[in-house]
Amino acid sequence: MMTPNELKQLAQEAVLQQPSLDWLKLPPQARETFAGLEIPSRKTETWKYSPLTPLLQQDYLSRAADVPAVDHQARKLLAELPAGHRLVFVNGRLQSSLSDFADLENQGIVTRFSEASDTQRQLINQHLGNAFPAREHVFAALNYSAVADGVLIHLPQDYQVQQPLQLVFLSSPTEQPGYGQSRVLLQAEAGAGLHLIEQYASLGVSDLFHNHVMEINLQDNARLIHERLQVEQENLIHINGLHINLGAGSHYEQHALAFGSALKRNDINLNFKGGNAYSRLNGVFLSKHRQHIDNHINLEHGVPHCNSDTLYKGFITGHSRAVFNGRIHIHPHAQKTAAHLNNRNLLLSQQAELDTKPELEIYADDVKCSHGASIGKLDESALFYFQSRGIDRAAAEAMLCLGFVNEMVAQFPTESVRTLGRARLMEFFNDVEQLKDLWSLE
Amino acid sequence: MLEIKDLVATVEDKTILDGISLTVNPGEVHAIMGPNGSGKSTLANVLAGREPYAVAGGSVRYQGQDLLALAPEERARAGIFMAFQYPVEIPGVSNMQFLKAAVDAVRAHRGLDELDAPGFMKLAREECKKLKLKPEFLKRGVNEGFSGGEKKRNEILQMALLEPSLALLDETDSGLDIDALQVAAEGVNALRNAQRSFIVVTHYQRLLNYIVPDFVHVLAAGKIVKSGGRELALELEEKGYSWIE
Repeated sequence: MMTPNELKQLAQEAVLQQPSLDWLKLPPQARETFAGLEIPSRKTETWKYSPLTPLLQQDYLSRAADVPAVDHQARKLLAELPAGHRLVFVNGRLQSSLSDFADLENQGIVTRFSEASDTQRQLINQHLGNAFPAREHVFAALNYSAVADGVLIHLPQDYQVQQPLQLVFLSSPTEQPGYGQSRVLLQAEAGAGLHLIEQYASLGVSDLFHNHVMEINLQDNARLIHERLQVEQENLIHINGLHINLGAGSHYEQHALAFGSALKRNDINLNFKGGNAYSRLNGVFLSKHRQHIDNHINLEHGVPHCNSDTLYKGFITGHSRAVFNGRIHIHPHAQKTAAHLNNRNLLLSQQAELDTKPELEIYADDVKCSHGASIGKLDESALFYFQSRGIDRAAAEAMLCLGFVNEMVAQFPTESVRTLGRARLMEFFNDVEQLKDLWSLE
Repeated sequence: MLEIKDLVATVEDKTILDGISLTVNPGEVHAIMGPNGSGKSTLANVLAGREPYAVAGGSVRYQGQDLLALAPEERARAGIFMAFQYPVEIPGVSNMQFLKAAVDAVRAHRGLDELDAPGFMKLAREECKKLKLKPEFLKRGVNEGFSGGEKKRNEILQMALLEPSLALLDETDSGLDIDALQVAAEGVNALRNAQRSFIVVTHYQRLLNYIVPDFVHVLAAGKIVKSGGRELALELEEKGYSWIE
């Protein structure tokens, strides 16, 4: 196993040797290089329960993951998604042949960094790296240390994108362990609106370390509906940073479903920058076998009159390990904030572990806040209710588990995304025969 | 149909049923009345197989078999149905999914084919209509956010679909206004026939104006202290439970 310093060394000698865009100027806070930062260890509070062992065991950073031809398989998978514009990435790299966004490209809505016009370069330089402090997000710093490309989504003022835009990240089998990174900057000008569907899926077992960063800037009164499915196979490492700035009156709504993997880490860092903004974060995470999943949510209520509602559910079984850390930080001037955060978990195995920590830090005196976490087993009275109707205990347990998860999945706004999520859930619960036609009755 | 002999049931070492004997023949409706804490709900729950009630003595034979040896789901498949006093809310599982799983399990036990989804939906919608429940009701989470009346009607709906031989109604009238009570009672009466038996557990005789029993038994401190015809219920209404205690 490598030491953290050897990991840095490896990155320096390999993946960070890629040519970077020469015109790109990151702000000072994001300019800290991966090499200069400390690799998280057990002593790092935000990584305490997520050891980097899987990352240190293989030479992921010694090469960029290759991108094999995946046409047929990928198309089959893409056919399950709703019609509409999509950007398809394989092992972190955007694949034009699988994507469909020419219209949006022609209108200047979607642009690759490498093909950005002078105005777009300005825009990228103005906003990229603004939404997070690199010091606290080491892997985002790694991601931004060598920026060869990226995707800019720019919505002009009051522009409404009619169909949902899809970002699809496929991992495909590779010869050797490899590193794939991707980044998206979404800049929504005042009053603009977008519905985004983000999916991570696998075309087979791959030794991939996918490092993804997305920054979202919603200017005043902009709206974003964001559906996220992270349903990849369990072998890979996926570290994902989502950093959001919310302008006055803006609205951000997320629905997320995520499965554990060798190491999966989701950071959501949300900054309220203008009054009367709202965020809803709905999420459900599942882990089984020896999977690991870590959810870190940080809500910075920096201004008055903003509301946030956060509900995450966890389903943890087998020998897996899950982490939830949700922090609401109310700054001194953020009066009249209403912020609520809750994490509810079903822990079904003696060998599984969940570490949950809701945090509330309040420096204003006129706010309504709540936070909570619960860990439970299946409800005996509910199990008896099923049994008293003739349903055997194993099927009753399975239906209750699915119900627990489905309560969140049912809230995904897009029907085809719900269907897709449920199909993946059925595979997750694949040993449960009785559940086959459960969803067809909805 | 059902033969209970000297049944003793305890919960956490406390005796709740203290030697109950009761015979229910096909087609009969027996009302079990009694003050709070007399053990009447426990009787229904013990027959349905609910924990943590433990049987400490006596026997229960149902259609010739030892009922107490069966798991709750086996009792349900054999034709016993309990309408819950407090139906359980199960968010995330739709009422339709729940009903189909139950009907499939019971039909499989009876050697009948599984109903296909459209066929089942049609059947469920028809039964909903009889109980004055809107079809959307089937798409909601099981009992999730249902009013008291909706929960009780949902119990009757399940009973109608599962077609039990012996139905146990555990305080079906509690929490119901008079209109909801009538709808629920009509649902029960529609299911009465010469083969199907009912045990109706209630605190008030009001329900028995609508579901007219053949026999009334009064429970006090875990024993049947008086049995009679339906006139016994009226007498209780007039005199209160202190009269028999």
